[in-house]
Amino acid sequence: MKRPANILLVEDNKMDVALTLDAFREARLENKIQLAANGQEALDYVFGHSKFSDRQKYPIPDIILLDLKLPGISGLDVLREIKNTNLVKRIPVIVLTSSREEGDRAMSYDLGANSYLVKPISFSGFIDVVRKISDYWFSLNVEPPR
Amino acid sequence: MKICYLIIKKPLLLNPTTRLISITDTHNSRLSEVRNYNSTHSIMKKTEEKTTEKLLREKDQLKIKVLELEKKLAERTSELQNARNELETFTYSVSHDLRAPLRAIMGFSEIISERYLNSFNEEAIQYFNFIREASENLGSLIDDLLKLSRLLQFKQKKELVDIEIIVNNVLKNLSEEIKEQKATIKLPEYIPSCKTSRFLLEQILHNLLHNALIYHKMDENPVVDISLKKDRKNITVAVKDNGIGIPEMFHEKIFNVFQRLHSQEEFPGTGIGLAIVKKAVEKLEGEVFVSSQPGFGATFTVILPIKNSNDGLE
Repeated sequence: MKRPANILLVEDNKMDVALTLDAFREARLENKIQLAANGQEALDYVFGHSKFSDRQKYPIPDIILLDLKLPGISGLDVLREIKNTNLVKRIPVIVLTSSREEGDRAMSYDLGANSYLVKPISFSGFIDVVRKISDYWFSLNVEPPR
Repeated sequence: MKICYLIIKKPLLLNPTTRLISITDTHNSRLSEVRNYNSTHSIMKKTEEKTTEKLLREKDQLKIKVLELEKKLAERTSELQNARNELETFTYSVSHDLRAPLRAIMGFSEIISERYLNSFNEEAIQYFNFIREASENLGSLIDDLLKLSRLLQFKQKKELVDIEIIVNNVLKNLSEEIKEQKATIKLPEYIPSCKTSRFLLEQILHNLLHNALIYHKMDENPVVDISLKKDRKNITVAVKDNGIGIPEMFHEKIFNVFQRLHSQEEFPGTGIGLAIVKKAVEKLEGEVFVSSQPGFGATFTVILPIKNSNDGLE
């Protein structure tokens, strides 16, 4: 079996972070989850800048879970930057947001989001989402070449 | 022109000299008439020109004033439109932002109740369940607010709609409630099609039917009679129930946002359903009213105008 995928979770709300991490544990998934608490941190991590320059400790993510509503540099800005940069543009980016707004959906797909998921309101819903992400993106989907 | 006409027309039956004098006389008198006329005419013309000039000036001034007023009106309208848009966007984002903390409250209470509830004493369990119940109510409130604000922002598209499909959709979405309340739903044998907004009509029917199922008498299962009639001008939808009814003094008020007549314990609800109905009906330029007496059920009637139903789709 291949190694569990490395996930970068871009999320500023510490409660949503806790719920997501708990949902991964509850779904018995053993992925290594790295955290970025805002847009700048997300870009620093992806490009291996400043405190994330140690690639041993902070490996390039196999997949990115991206919240849209972030303070300062927004999730859409992060998405644009990633999808415009040759080295990292193939990393699948899953938008994970509470917004169903048409504008957000349109922009996300226009900028190259690989999937768009709406955060469920209940915890059991969260577990379900995390399981389905794992089933599809970590096992069914064939990863892009590095 | 006038002179020629006179000369030719005069009967010439007298002897030539008399004829000539007569003609000359007539000619002279006509000539002076014409001169007089011309001079009067030129005076009149001058006065007329002056008046016209004045009128034109006044007209121009009026035009400028009208333009100014129109400009002011346009500015006002756009200001109002902006304020309205802002308010609608505000409602949307507020109801939206309320979801994040709610997700935390619901999510963590779900985790606690699954993992730690057996270490709670009776009082703690009761209070904890209050938190969960309240957060669920808050959830439906936010959902309904979002529905309402989406409706306010909704740009309606009219299309030929098979109302039967909409009715079936609504019944499917409410199937759990229908089963739970052991309700009987009566439908007309023939359900017409018409040109309207699918989304708005679905909102109207869903909320009216939902209310008919919720506000039923304790000792009686709901019986809901849906009637749909179409004539050349209107489509009329009536939803009749055998529920608790509504006192006449509330027949208008119930369509206001957050207007409720019962406590959460008696009948759960957010007070937004009928406001959604009213807004949707207004968007379709129709009307909605209720006829009801306490204890004798209620009938909600919606009349929607159908325009150019034979036209192509808008």
